[in-house]
Amino acid sequence: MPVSSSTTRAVLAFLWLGIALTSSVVAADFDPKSVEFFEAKIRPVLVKHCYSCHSAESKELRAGLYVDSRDGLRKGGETGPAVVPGDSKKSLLLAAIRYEDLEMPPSGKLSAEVIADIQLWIENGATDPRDAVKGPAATKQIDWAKARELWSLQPVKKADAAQLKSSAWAPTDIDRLVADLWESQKLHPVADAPKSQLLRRAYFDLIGLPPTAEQLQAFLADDSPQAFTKVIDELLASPRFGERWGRHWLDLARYADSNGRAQNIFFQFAWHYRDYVIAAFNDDVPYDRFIIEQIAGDLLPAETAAEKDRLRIATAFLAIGPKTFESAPELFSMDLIDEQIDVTTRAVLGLTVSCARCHDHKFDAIPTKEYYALAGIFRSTDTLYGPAFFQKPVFDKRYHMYAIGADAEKLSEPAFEYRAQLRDLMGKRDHAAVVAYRTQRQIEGMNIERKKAGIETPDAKLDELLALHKVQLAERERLKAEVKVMEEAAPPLPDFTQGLKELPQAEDCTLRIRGEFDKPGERVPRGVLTLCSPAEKPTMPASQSGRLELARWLVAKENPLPARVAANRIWRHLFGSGIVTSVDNFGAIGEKPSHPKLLDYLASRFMETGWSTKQLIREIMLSRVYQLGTQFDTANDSRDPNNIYLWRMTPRRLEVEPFRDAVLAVSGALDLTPPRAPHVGLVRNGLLEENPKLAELAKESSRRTVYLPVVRGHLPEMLQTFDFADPNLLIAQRDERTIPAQSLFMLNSPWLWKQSTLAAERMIGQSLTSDEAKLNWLYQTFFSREPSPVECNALEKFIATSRERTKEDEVAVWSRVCQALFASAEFRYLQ
Amino acid sequence: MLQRVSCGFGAVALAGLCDEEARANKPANKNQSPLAPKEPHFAAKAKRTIFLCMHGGPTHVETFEYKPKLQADDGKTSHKNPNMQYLASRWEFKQRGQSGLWISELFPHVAQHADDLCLLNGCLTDNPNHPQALDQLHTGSFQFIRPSVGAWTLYGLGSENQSLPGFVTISPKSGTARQYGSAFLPALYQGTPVGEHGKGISQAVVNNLANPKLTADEQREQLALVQELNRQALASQQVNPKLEGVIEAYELAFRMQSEFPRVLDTKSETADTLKLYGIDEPATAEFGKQCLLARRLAEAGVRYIEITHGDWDAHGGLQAIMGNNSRATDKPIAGLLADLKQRGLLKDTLVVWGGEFGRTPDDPTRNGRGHNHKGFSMWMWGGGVKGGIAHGRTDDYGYEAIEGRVHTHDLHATMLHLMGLDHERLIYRYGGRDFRLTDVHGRVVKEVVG
Repeated sequence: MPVSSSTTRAVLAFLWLGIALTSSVVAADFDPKSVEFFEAKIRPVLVKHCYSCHSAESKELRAGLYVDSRDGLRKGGETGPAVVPGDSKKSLLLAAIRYEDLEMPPSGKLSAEVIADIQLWIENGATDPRDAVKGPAATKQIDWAKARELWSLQPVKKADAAQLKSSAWAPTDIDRLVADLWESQKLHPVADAPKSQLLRRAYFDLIGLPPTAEQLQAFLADDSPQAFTKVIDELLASPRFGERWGRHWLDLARYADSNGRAQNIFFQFAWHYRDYVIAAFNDDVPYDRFIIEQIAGDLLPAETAAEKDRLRIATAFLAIGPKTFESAPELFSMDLIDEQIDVTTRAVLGLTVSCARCHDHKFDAIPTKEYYALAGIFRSTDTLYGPAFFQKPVFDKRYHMYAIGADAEKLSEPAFEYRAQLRDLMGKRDHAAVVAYRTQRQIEGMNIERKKAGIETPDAKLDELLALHKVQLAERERLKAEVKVMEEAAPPLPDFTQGLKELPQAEDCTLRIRGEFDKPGERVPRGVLTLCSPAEKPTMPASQSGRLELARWLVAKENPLPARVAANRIWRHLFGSGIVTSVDNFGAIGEKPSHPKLLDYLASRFMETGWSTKQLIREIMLSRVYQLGTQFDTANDSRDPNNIYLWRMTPRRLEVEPFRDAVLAVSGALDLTPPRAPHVGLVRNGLLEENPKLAELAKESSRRTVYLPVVRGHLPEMLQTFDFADPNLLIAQRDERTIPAQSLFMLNSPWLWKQSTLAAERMIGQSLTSDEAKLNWLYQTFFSREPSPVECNALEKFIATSRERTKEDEVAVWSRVCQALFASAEFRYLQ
Repeated sequence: MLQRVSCGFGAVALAGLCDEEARANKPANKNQSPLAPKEPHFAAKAKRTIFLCMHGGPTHVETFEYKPKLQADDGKTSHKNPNMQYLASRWEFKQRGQSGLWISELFPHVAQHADDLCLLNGCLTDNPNHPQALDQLHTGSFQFIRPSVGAWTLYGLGSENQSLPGFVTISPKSGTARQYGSAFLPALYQGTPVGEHGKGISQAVVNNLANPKLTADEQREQLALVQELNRQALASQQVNPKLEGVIEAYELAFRMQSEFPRVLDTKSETADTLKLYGIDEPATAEFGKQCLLARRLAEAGVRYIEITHGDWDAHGGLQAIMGNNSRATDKPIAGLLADLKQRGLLKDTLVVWGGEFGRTPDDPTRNGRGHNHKGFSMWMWGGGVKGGIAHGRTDDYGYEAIEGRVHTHDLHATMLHLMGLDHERLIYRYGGRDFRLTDVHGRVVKEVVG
């Protein structure tokens, strides 16, 4: 902001007056003239332009610099001394106000006059009569007990069931905990869901597929009190369960089959990790163990080779993130570590630890130092992230992967050895080509010279070169052929996985000032966060990274976060909203739980049952509150419009996986065999430029959606349109968009039309006689219910018009009906 | 410089957040579409933005920043890089218009608009690699996945046409989805791509815009059935905003089916207009069509429009690359500016031209230039910027911005400012922290605001 010099002077004079009155004490050993200069020319400028960010009174101190004291200025901030008396060149203050490096003050450059004054002041010895530091202590002391007063860090306390008020309505502890809050909120539960609705809900929630008409009939016919329990147990035992619940974890694991970013390298073996996760949910691997395997599986004992592979595959969790390969090596390393810390802590602890990369966490007691303590653990870890772009797609030891499979060891050495030889031979071939080319250039040069000079007589040297070239060409061709033979005879390679492994030497990481990778500070011993260490912190081994210690600490029972975070997520998948709605932030600025006692009950049940995901799901689904209907209720709605207190089941939208899978199931096209690869047709190395086939492949596939290729930046159309989790980021809660692109897909997508025709043909194949019977079958298959008279009426009218329009083409007529049923909101919303 | 992760923006920003969230995270009326127009933070100069994105980094010393010293010292050893020689522009600069702005002969048509142009000759950014610099140009960050400027703008202002998407990107390059993405902002704010780079815009299709089976009447009948079933469901549930949303989205999609092709169809344009954009000449036809489409979208009320051209990456073949690219774009851009002006859209349409960085003034090949992120040129037009001025400059040879420096964050702050948005108040909370387009940086370049 331009201010006229006379105004500036007036302001300065005024300020000086004010200061002169308050700071009457002037140390005797200062030269009075220079003190006068300081008070007149320097202090006012500092007060006016710098104190708001660089003083004890600053709301937020910037760059660690205090300019309100002599020591503060001389000590300087994070970048070094601001003032070096007598040396204006070394005084960063001067460089900053000259806008040479930093641009200070940011509101606008000071006038040349003022800058000259400051330079003069520094060169004359920077007389500064002010008192020593009066600001707060340099480093903030954290009061850990106070920090742990946050609700989420309190120990998990299971409510005493005997003390809970019982009511006729509430048969289970979960119900009592939910009903407990209704009284004060003046809410009453709606009626239980009809059986058909409940069955559909359970099928989608547990396996992500609708029940068939037969399954629906069987359930409706089963009057026993155990009917629903039986269904739940069957579904929990189905291999489809892992495909549904594994995908929830894959959202957090930002799973993808490619690197993304500028170097979109194909992660050809990432699918092993995907399948590991699916299997872990099917086998109900205890959640604490599941976490330990993914952070430090390579460090766990394994009895068989297959188990060893499984544990190595688990660690791909921290290797499949998106990376910027073209960064400087140090930046690459620190970014990789940051991504690993972020994913680990947000997924398991619900804490945003990576905020502390550049400065102490603003809201949670996570000092930057502890961030770098964690960083040291990953710094001592070798991330086997697969091929980088500069590596030729030749498999060898440099491939940066684990070799896995029954014959990994048997195959690896000979295969690698052979390929090393092959590479040598390729080198020879390329060299021979270069040698021949040089000779050729020489010959060409001579020919041009001769042509210019008009010489046509033979030349001995030229002939000699020509003969030599011939020999060289023959050698080149021989080597070319040899390479080809050798390539064709190459012994088979083992299978691979990305993952983590120990570096030969464990190493602590240096703190980076303001998170800048090239500004190292002190070295920080490896360790974990104090904030969620109610017990002793684990000691880091000298000879290992400490990953195993970190993993065990993450899911230690004394740590209240992992069980709370995981139980809350399970609840969210079954109710649409978490007890804590900020599902990946349990820190100070996360949301508070709506039902704290219920959350703690679930967390303790989770731990009591050996961290069994299946058992917790089963217990929740057998509660009455899960089985409530979705009816609207005006009185309840006026008091609790967001249904926070669960007076009904909130209708939910299906994610893209169950939606697409349901379309395929209804049309009869669904192929339930899991593929042993990311996707056929994708088996290609190196960069994934936009592969036009990709979209087509996804469309043609009739496999379950969890098996579609997840290429970062190029999601299949349907995934993109229907809010699939962005695989670049940890996604704890997906978007739920309602956008025209979805409607356009529903109305016009050739894929959906194809499925509609298949569904129509399938229905016609049932040999049903009347339109009424046909509609009944369709409604049971599409919506697990019978159509209402009003719906029948609307549909019959539509059928009549369509018959006229299509000249009684039954497949065309029923395709239109099926397409409309797919497009109707009921198909995508779960009651 | 490393991008700094921050968990907040201090007490001031936090204090502003509460009403900000109430205002901007949700539309004023709960039942309103998130695309409904919203009030700006303060009176806006511009209502819409057209960003002409020049992929590859066009050179500044051959286009919009005249460097007499570089011209004089052609072939002499560079004072910066002793093993390199200065390379002067092969194209002549002239002073243009009343304002006397220096513009090279590569852009004779754009130069006719000199008095409305606001040259930014002190631009700089953080990264000299194409993908990162392009990411930063579009999202402010080259490291993290962040919402595009267009998405932020739409989030702040909504759209004026409820039958069209509010952010359209014309013929984006493949693999740049992140540059028109909404990241953590509601996905409705992401750019809708029309056409693909390298394929003629005339063949541009929006996915699933046409029904493969039914005539318009038949589709209306079928949609009527779908909506009838939806209304039945809604009636049985009494209240369900999500279902209402589905019903609305179907209506919007149905409208888009006719509105979108109508906007994309340029048949109604006169021969004079086509000529103005250079659509009658092969060299300029393609980009001319894209510029014309941008004007049609702007007129139709689309909030943010981007057009991509390039490759301007002249490491070698400087003459050919600069010659061809400027020939292909000069007349169409000038046509767009003239057309906007004659339709009275100069005052409230902001047009921004530029690439991800500039080029070096020296090069060993004598026919190419390296990447230069420390100093380059962009320009703005209309939308409340001062016309006929050149703000900022690089040093005498064009190595580094030394005066009137406009960092990418400053550019973004200024673009938002012209649209009536305060970059420090346009905040979105995600994953426990508040995000801004400009992160903790950015200064509105007040000097160019009229």
